[in-house]
Amino acid sequence: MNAQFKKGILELCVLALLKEKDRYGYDLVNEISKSIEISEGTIYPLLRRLKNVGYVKTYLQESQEGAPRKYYKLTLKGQEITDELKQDWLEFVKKVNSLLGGESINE
Amino acid sequence: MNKKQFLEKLHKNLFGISKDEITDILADFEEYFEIGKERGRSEEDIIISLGNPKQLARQIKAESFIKKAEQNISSSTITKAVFTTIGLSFFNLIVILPVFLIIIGFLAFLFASSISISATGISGAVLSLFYPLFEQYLTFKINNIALFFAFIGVGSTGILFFVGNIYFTKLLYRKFLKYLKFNVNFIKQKSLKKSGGVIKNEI
Repeated sequence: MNAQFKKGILELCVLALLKEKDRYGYDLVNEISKSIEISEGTIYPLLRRLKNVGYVKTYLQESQEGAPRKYYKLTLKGQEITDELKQDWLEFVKKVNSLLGGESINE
Repeated sequence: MNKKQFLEKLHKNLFGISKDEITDILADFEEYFEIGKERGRSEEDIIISLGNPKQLARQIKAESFIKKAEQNISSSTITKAVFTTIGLSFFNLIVILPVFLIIIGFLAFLFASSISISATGISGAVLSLFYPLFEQYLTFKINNIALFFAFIGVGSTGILFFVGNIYFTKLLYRKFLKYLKFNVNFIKQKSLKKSGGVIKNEI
């Protein structure tokens, strides 16, 4: 799959997961890896970008299991963007599906 | 490759970005290793799934450059806004400058006449005080007291005229400022809308 394309989808997945609840990097990778195969390291450049543009904030929280975790939390702006992107994605998928469907009929 | 080597390789390839950022990035990966180990994964396994540190560093650097580029975009929109302002000012220069000069000329005329009227009044009043001194050179007779008050009247009219001009100038100045502000706001809103559109497209 096109790397740029995958990056955009990964971003949407991360935002959607963060909308559910605050998560740390490993947790995000864990969740996404359940459905999509990713190179786990790419999550950090992505999270840095989201932080740079102000979609997420971070905070440290102690863990009973061991090392303190850096949690990522959606900002208000991030929440708005997530809703917008989700809407865009759903419309996009619908259009692509109808195109794919049209193609299969023509065949 | 072990964790230490991985982090070293990452560090080495992150040159060009700030020290704070590097520390931050390395801490993120350190945390990732810690949590992975807590979950019973081996360092080797984690390294494989993290991917090539060189490539990761490249990605992180790219993000860092994009951030800079985005800052450049905003500065270029500012430049654009400045140029738009200059452009509009140039338009103003051509269309408004003549009007502005006429207003300035008119104001100068008003001030000059008010000053000369006041000066005539005051000097006339002073001269009429010395009327007895040159009475002998005059072929006609005048009531010097009446003349004095007449000149005082002229002088105070001139001064009133002058004060009136100051108020008039202030009023014009305020109107002119208001107009300029309106222009600037208009441009700002326009460029804001433009840059807003750009940012949205970026996303």
